[in-house]
Amino acid sequence: MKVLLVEDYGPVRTSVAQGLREAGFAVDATGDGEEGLWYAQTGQYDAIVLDLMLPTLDGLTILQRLREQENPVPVLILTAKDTVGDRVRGLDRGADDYLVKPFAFEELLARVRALVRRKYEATSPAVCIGDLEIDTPTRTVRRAGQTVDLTAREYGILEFLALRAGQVVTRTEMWEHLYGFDGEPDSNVIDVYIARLRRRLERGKRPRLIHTRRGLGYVLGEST
Amino acid sequence: MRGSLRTTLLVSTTLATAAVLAAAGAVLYALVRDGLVDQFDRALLDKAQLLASAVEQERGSIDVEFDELDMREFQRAEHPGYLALWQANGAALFRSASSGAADLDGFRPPGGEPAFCEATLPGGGAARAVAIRFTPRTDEDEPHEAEGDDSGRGAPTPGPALTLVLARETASVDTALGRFRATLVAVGLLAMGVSAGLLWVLVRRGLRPVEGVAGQIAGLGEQDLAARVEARDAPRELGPVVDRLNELLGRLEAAFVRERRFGADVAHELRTPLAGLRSTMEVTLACPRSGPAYEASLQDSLRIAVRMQTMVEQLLALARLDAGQADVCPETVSPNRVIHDAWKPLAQQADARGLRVAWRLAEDGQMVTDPALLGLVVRNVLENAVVHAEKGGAATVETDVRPEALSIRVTNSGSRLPQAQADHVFERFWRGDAARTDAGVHCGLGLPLVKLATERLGGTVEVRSTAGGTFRITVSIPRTPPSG
Repeated sequence: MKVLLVEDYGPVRTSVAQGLREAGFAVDATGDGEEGLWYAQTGQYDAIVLDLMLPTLDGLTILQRLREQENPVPVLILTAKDTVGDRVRGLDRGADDYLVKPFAFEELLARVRALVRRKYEATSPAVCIGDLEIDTPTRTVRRAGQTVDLTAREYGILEFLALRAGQVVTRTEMWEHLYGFDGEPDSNVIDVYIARLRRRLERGKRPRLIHTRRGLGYVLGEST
Repeated sequence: MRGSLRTTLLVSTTLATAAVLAAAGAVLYALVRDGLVDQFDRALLDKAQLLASAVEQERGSIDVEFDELDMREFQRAEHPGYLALWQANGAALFRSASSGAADLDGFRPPGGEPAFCEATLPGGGAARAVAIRFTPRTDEDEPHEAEGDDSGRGAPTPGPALTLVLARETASVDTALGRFRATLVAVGLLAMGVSAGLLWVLVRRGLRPVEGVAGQIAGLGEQDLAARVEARDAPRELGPVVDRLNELLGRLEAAFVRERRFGADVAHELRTPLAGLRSTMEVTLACPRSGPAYEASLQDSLRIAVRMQTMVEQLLALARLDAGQADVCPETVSPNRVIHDAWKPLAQQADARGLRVAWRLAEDGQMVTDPALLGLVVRNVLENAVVHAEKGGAATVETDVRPEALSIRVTNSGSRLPQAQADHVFERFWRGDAARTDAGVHCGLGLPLVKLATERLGGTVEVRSTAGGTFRITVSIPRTPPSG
């Protein structure tokens, strides 16, 4: 899952970006309004965490531009402005959530996860496909009741596939949702991760869940 | 608080009306009484002169011929008059039946003119008396004899002077006067009552606009400072009061709005670094880390805490200067030393940003001013230059010591502030948009502090921002503290 963080105060930007990355998100972070809008318009984000008071272009204007362009990306406003008027204005301009500074990082994380879940129309934080269970808040994966240990990147790929279970997900899509702008696109990397995921999920001779669609990408599901 | 305006007006005007009525009544009464007494006296004198004309002198003897006159008033049983005719030697020639009044027996006119006096007649009635001195007529029926006397026995001897005293009771006058007095009092009281009623109505009507204004003022709540007192129907005299009040309300409203915005700004500016501090710590604590990672996190937290401390101190200094609590304690200071001391904590930051600083300090001239406030001013103008100059930019610090004032001029490059916006730098929490990049590093309190502290020292401060990106702030501070 990829998140864009637009926040001009260095310490918040740095720590939130780090926290989100450690929680398995790919993060692009900027402290400039214009730059933030450019990122939002060009990147494939699963959520945007947006500060309101920004240099060059303020957060509400960024939000308005995105919504005018019918960009449906979920936006969480993260600001020190705390009046009811501010919240209402933010939500009415098209924000999906509003969190006032200072905030508990846990809460920010939970809200971002909820936004992503809603984006993929998943109602429950737990995803079940056959005997595969994924609990997104705790990022734990079980196959036939057995816990499967995954790295953050492996988990990220599995969660993205699970949220779009039954659909073909291209390597480019996976790349765009799992890596920040700083990474060079390399589809081989995705293939390597998929191979590792299969190894771990099929331990104990369990049937294959991640299927290859030659020339297209991958599908997560019980059967082809 | 004094009593009610309406009551005061009503009581004072009523009392004044009563006094005027009473005085007018007294004057009228006195005039009428004097007129009546005068009339009475004239009638008395007429009667006395008539009676005197009935006294004749005939060949040395005095002939009193009162019988031809109307003498009833002296003969009646009730309230008889008093009449007495005295010879010069004090012997009575005639005394009316009622003339037992001993106090009138000695009454004589002092000269030739008739004399009047108050008296009490034996019947007990108050009376007025007149006394006239006259010489009785000689008998004019015998002129020849007189001529004969004239030629033969020389000039006839003039008759001896007699005194006639006549008194009448004044009961009728007293009754009339009594009636008049009663009428006056009754009319006066009635007039008083009517005028008090009229005054009550008039005062009430006159004060209605005042009550209207007072009602509007009473209705003002602390929440609706935007309300103004309507003076359209108020009398002209209340205009200035209402205008001043509305001006005051306007100033109050502006101050409240400023205060509220300031409070919101303070909350906002404190929340941002707090959020940074909290999320830095939370993210660091979320999983076990290496020593250097903890160290980096602590360094970040420390930087934020120091910045917050600076901001809180600036807020406190502003609050004290606002409240007039910052006492100015002048002592002899060396400005160059103050500048040097203020630069020390900033030097590292300036080096880190690659700032080239040119020093053009004038020969040190001592001055008498408050060292703490001067230090505050210098520290903040220097910090402003260090923070706002671009990386690798330039700054100049100049001083100019004139006999009356010290000027400190600090210039820095890298300004993106148009001159039109330059004066905004003195507004609290104001930042040019470009400055927002350094959120949390400076919060827009430094230059407002400079302005407040400089003014406290009796000095002036001005800023200039040129198109070439040069920002210059000039502070002038008197070298001796302003009196008062």
